[in-house]
Amino acid sequence: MSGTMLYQPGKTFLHRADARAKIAAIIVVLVVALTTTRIDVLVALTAVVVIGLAALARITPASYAKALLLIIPLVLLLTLLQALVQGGPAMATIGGLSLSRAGVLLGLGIGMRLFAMGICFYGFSVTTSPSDIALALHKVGVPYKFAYLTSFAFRFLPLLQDEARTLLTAMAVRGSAESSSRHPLRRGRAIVRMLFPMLAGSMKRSSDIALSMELRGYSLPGPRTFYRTSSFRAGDALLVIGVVLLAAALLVMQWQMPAPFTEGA
Amino acid sequence: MTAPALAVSGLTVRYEGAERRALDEVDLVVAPGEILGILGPTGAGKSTLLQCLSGVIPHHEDSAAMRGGIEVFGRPLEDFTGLSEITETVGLVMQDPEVQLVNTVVREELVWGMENRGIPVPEIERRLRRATDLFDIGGLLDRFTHALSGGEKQRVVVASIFCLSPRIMLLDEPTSELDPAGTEGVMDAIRVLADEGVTVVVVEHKIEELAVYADRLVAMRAGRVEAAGTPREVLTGPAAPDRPQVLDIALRLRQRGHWDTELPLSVPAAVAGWQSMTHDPHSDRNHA
Repeated sequence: MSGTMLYQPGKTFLHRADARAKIAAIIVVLVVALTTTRIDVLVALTAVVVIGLAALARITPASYAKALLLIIPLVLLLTLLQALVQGGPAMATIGGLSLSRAGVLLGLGIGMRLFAMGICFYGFSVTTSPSDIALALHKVGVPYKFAYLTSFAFRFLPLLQDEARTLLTAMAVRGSAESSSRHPLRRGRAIVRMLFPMLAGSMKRSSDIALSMELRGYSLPGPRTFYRTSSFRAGDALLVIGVVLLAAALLVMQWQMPAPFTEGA
Repeated sequence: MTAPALAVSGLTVRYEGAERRALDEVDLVVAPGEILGILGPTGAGKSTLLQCLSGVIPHHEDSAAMRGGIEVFGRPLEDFTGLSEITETVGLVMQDPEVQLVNTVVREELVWGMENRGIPVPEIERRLRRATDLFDIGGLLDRFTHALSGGEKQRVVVASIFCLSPRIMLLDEPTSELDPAGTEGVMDAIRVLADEGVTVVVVEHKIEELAVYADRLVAMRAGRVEAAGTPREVLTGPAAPDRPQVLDIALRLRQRGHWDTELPLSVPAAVAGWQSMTHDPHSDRNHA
């Protein structure tokens, strides 16, 4: 899944947008998502994010559908838990356990919140080069050495994936049926067994990577130049303004319009 | 008199808990603009020697006890303030390219070290163009580093160190993952660098290439220098750890009295040698 979350170069509006504008837009979407559990507001937010990504970055739902499917079990679990924990009128009774209507609505609301935030992060990570993220953070005042580490994390992810794949293959070729099993529990056992050598390998690698960075002047104290530049243009300002207006509209919707699904209905 | 690029005297290194010394009283002098090839079996101390020359031992690797002297262009290595200062003169390419790629896109990888050094952008662009031409990586600039093949990674890593314009380049098996054409490309680039005055010390197992491209060879075994000299001197001597196949064949032919011209280090040289022997009007091989 993480492989598809990596930056994919392109020339769309969102690809060209300044990373600071995109970070600001994400923060606004997060604030809206985290301030409500009303399903209608969150569905509207998710719909706008989906349409926005399709229009501004040519990212179709098909490209992140697989990742969303992985969230569904978590959403169902959350909904079930909320349905059991929350009070109020029951929506249904299964095996003697009553499922609260308020709990179900809350669980679904939290699920929609996860969808909205997940799609938003997906859009950000596939349209923003890791070095642009580092540059944006540096431009808002984060020292480059720390800002660079965010960019480096994107480099480290495929390294860990490769390491995991190699270890699982090594286990499989030496007769471990679990490592190539499609059964989630058996596969899970193989992954747990793989964790220690993977950790040891990562620690060795991180020491070599640190040396490699040092050899190319990462810790030099002098001023640094930036080959890539970024500038905050009118289009970036429009993106931020558009997202802020969307947020305002959704907040008005939340406070002024009656909720279509109510706990007691 | 010009100071040697590298002067090593009595260099001895022992890793913590190791039974024997990784390097044992190594003496070495490398002239500016020279290509020095280092040969030897696994465990001979070749990589440790490069780590010492680049200051990685003792500045980064603290599990190794080191004594002896290393001078870089006449300046003792201990006078440098740290690894960062040493790397302004000495560039090291390590064995594993994977751990040396620290950015997601090749172009960013190549410019990153130059940005860290505060090199002006026009100069970065000039060096970038030069590196892409020299190492034939123009088509890789917008590719993800994690998606490159082993050989492509190796070329990018060497190019990224080249971009820093070090006066000395230390290369630890820079062609181990390259095919013959790629190997020849990197070795040609190394020759160009040396012609421009860059000193190159290269550890390599591909003896055929070293025999042709290196100005001098050093053969190491168990932490000691067993032989040093021109490729011909070292490879035809008793301490040669291995020989190019073509030289081996010529030596066997000489033992049987069938090769009486200069011993070849490459196939073209062998062909030329054979032709010179078969066209000798006094040779009875003309009709063989």
